[in-house]
Amino acid sequence: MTEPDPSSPAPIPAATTPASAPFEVRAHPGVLRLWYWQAIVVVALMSLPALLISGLAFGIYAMVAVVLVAVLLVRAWHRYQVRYVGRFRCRLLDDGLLLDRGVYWHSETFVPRERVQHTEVDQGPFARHFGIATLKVHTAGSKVGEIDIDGLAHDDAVALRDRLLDRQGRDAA
Amino acid sequence: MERRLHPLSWLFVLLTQIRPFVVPLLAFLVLGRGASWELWGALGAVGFAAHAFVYSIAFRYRIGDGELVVREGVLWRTVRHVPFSRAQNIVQNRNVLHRLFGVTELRLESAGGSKPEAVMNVITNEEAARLIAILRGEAVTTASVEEGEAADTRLALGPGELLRLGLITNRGWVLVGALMAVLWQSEELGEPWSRDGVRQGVRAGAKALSQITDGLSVRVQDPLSWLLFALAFVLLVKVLSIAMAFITFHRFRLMRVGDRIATEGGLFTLRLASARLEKIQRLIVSEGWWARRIGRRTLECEIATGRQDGDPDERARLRWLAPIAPPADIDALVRDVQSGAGLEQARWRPLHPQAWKRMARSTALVAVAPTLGLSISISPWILLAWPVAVLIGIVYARGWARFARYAIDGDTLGYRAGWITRRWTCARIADLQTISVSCSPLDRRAGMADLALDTAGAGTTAFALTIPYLPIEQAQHLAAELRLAVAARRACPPIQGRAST
Repeated sequence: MTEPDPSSPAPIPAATTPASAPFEVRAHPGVLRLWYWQAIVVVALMSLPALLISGLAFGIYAMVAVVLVAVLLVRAWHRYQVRYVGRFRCRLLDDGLLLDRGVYWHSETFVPRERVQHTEVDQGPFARHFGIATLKVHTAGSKVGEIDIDGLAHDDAVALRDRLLDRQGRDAA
Repeated sequence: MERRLHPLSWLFVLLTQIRPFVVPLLAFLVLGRGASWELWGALGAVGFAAHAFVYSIAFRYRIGDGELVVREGVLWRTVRHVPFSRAQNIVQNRNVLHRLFGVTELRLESAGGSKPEAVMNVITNEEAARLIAILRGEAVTTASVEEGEAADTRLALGPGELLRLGLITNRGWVLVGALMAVLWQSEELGEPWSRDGVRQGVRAGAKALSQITDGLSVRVQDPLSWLLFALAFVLLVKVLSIAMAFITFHRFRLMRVGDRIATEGGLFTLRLASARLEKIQRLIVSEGWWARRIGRRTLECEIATGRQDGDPDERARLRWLAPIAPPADIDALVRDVQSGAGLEQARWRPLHPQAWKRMARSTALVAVAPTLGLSISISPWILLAWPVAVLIGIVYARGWARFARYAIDGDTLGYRAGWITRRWTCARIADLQTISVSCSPLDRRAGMADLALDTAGAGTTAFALTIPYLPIEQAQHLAAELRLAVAARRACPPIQGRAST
């Protein structure tokens, strides 16, 4: 699940890492539980009509099959989430934010510190219960104008935001 | 001293306000028959007119200390302070009516925000020139911008070039589409066609068109006639494209005015747009099949604004730096605007040697689903289309990859690709917003990655600055290099004020 992928991006050469130690943030461990419940709720809601229709049309065995498929779907989704959290890495360097994530589609995104226009820390009611938050970083860019960093501990999100905005000075555009 | 708008401003404000409703209103007034629509339209127009009148009477502006102060609104008053440094893009629109009264709409935009910083709708041409001169931090002169001595013309399009522009573009489709819509609507509305000359004319046109197409489909069976018909249609589109070229770019000029770049042109609506050189985020050069035959290219730019694609003011902004010009001139302009190596001298480096295979593979994969679906629903013979699609994909990918290159030269970064239509894009490294390396499962198998570079103001449909199919280590190395370069550019101030004057 979290075994090292041979083709995963190698770390950025040492020359580019700044003198001061990077501030590194991982996903909040509790996020897996939150996302697990989310997966269960979403799959349950989606399979409910299928369950009714199959029950009415084909009987009990079809219903059992639907439930089985739903369970498998939740498990597959959860395995994906576990791998996502395992790969997720967010580092704040001297010159900007480096975000490394993705299970099948890897991506390594760098936002220069001066390019950050504004940030948001979002927390839904369930996420609040788990102490989880999303940090949204806005740039003036057009393709990736908003970068959502999901699954952070609320404290980490706030700390990351504070450090990110710390040295902001010039107009970014 | 506070100043007001031109006394006739209410008329132009009104026209701006009802612009979204003009087409449906006209359609109903001219083509439709509903009396209730005309009534509602008239009522709405009275309301808009009253608002426009009060709004333009209440509008005030003055030049403060290094800023423009705009006061607008009647019930909800707004006082806006626009520092000159924030008014980065200056746009003027003069349609036939504006020119009749010698007035202009002046619009100041900044890099952020969803609305322009200030819209003066309308002021006299002299007043606009005075304001622009102040904004540029110059002494107040009476010469208008486009006639000012400082203006250094870099490109001017004569009728010959406009003719070529019509030949290499297909803007005529816009007119064809509009014509189709009108004819279709007149057919739909049907009754009653008596009395009105316009309706009869449109009706006759629609009838003629339908007769032509009906007649063709009955009589014309052999492929040769169809070919001729298709050729005639292409010719019609080209003729309309030439008309559009003259309408949009009549007397087009590109000028360098101090640290700004400015364009003007247009037959009915004269558009004047300018922006500070350093606010130009990205340049895109394109060369279609026809353009390559006659040795011409197109240069457009993207400006940092907070606006999105598809908003009605979008086409007013500085965009086409050179609608058409020979490659050498385009290259000179690119070097002038970005002070980089240009297109010709850039050290172009290839992508992954297997890039074409990777591209053809994804085309083949993407083609699977539709061919399967169609073969199940229509006929199994459609499965034969898949190898054809794969073959076309291979031919395309080979042509594409042969031309695809990227280049990093000093402060600028370039990427080019394309087969039938070739495109180049370049941006200053200091202007990059985000740098990201991404790798899909197919990429991973082939040992490749994409290097996506985001700039401000990029249209979602334009040729993106995303360099695909790089060897994975190279993509990572480049990303790291670019990060360093961005930080270095940021650290030394001379690059910030790179617009050499």
